[in-house]
Amino acid sequence: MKIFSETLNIDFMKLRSAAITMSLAIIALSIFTWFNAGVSKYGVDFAGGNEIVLRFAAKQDMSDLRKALDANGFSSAVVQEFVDEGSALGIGEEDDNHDISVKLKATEKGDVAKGLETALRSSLKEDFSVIKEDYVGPVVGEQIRNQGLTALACSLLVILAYVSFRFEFRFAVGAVVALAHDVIITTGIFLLSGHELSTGALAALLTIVGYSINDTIIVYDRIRENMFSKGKKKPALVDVINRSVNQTMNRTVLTSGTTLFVTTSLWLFGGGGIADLSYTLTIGIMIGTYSSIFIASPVLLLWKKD
Amino acid sequence: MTESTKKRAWFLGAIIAISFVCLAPTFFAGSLPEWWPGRKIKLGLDLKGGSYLVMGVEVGEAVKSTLSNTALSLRSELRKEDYPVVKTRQTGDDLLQIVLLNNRALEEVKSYVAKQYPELVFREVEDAGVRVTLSYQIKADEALNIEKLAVDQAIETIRNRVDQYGVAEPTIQKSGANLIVVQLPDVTDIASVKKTIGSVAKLEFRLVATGKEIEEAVSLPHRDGSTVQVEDHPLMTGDAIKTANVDIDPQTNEIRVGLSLNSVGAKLFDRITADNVGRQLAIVLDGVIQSYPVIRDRISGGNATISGDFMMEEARTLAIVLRSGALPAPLTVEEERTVGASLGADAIQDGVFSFVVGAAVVLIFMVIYYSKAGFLAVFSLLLNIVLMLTLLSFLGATLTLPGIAGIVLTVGMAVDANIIIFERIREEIGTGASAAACVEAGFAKAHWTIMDSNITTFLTGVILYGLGTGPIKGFAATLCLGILTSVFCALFVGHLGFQMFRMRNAKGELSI
Repeated sequence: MKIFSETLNIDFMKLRSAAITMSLAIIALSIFTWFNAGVSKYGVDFAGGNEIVLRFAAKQDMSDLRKALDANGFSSAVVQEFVDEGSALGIGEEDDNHDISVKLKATEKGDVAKGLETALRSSLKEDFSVIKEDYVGPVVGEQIRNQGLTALACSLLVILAYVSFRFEFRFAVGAVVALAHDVIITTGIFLLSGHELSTGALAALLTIVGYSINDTIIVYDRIRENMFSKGKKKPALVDVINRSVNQTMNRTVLTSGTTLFVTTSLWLFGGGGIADLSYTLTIGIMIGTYSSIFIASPVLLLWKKD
Repeated sequence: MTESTKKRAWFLGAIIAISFVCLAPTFFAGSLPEWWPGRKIKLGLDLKGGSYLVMGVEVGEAVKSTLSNTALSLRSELRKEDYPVVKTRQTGDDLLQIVLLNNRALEEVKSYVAKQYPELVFREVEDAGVRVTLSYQIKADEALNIEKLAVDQAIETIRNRVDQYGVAEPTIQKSGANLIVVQLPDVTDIASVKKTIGSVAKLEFRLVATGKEIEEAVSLPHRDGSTVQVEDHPLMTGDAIKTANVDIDPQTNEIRVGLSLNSVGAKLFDRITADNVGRQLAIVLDGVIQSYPVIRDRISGGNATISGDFMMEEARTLAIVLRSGALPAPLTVEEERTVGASLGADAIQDGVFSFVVGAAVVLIFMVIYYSKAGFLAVFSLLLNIVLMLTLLSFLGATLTLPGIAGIVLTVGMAVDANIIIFERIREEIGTGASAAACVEAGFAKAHWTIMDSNITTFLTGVILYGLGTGPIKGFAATLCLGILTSVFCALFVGHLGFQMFRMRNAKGELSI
């Protein structure tokens, strides 16, 4: 059984201008979203503040909770469902409980969790239990932000070095450009779909840096093999790249596809605790596959070797 | 089967056996004999419930506090030498000042301090006519020393206090220059534990000021809201306490905290009470007076009582903190993550369910797409998971919810290696070579592709492990371990599988 036949012969490189243009547009949109969102793009993990998850025995009307918060001086609090996507869509196991997350970003008062809890207990009719309580102070929040950026930069540099070592520098540049593309667009989509950055999202971004390089390497491997095999006449680079991408199409689609099966499963059924992690991974792997074909290889073309 | 194949098969068999031994404690907890090696896989706080606290030590306060004590000692020493010292005080962040009545003994005082207190660096002298003020600053490396000691001492004190709560397997560790990470599994009442841990608990015994002491007295607040003038130096501190207990006065039913003093403290208390019968002795906790009873008699038994309108919970907390000693500096909570046990249980359930669904889809796909070779991939994958869990258990690594996500991700990534090999073999079949040759060529040519892609993911996993804390570290750990086992399973086990079993379909071709 095969998805693509051996004689697949799509001229991918012809599409590269269109692909690069589209990518640049989305990158611009992502960067704009990043700066436009200002501090609101940072979740509690990075900005500091409180997140409390309340468990109610039955489904709640979120507006009651909203009113109670406003009445007690917590009008800046963000109220969200704390479930995995599957529960939100109604698939998967049925759970009677209704878990709601209340986020309050950094205030000068510091840890306000207890105050919030007491206020809600007196204002709401229904009983609830606090199943999760996070507080991140300003010192730690900033630390996590800085560490995150450092880790991303380190990962890109490490991969630049490794791919240069195993292939050539221009291959490495193509790979790193594709990775940066993936991180920027994934972050953009993440923010545009209304999420706030958390440590889970950051972990996913770093994982994508490490994973997305895989299908890039599959293609590069084949390009290298095709470049140096035929002895008689040196084929044009654009043809080598096209042939390599077509030959490895099965492999690229299948490896990404199987990984997408599992990340989708995580996203649908993994619970609210890893919601950001699994969502970001799923988006990132899709973008990563696209970039291996349409971004990494064209960069090779742009970098004419004399 | 060749000799080499047999040897490798035995090797694999041994590894599988070891895995079962290591994993048995996790899955068959109750029914194993005592001598069984290995232990259950450790669950992170987000899976079993508990609290994770990062506390910052306000080291600046420790320096100030040390200087205050130095100021007090210096004053009594200088007065014993008959120098005209009006007072000494700690000011600013790291300054100590000596106020003299006049400049009569200025040089002698300076040389006394220089000789006895080398950690103080002379800064300036201010001669205002009426008084002469000498300013000293503490040496920078001495201050650093105090700060470092403060953090170490805070860790010990926290450990003592946590021990008294009977928390199972708490972890208390230094993190960076002045942060302490405290992990408390299965804590139900985190609020009171936090309060106990964070309470400075500086206990002092000071005489209430009368007569001429009023000049040097300080005003301290009392529990009930009033203020009382007390002498500005403590006669005895919390160091003198051996142990503290809650007791109830049989006559008044009042809840009190009884103190048992150590031998040095008992002698000191004996002398204090003997010298000051009739005067009031204030018991000060963290700058607030709890009570100031009159000393009726000399007390030589080494026992004292603090009574002051306590509620039971308050008294218990007080007893705990007094037993464990004072914190050298106040603590601030920099980060706190608390997960209730019910959410933890749900998280495990969700994690396992998403794993089963994800793995099932992938495995069914592999069998449909690659026929018999697909079955080999299924076996390889299951073995992969077993080996991953074995490594987790063997290394004593902690499994967190993101860690389970890492395992699920490994399922997806492990299959990639198989796909790369199988696709390569399929290509080789197209060239018409013998089945065995195709298999060998497939494995050989795919080898470096697999290594390259996994090494890069591994490197980013290592960086993520270095950066992350708690749950994210768990994710990075399972990711990295998963890569190691995946490469082993795809290359070693996969290869062995092809050599050991006839993977042919009905037509005699490779079933792939």
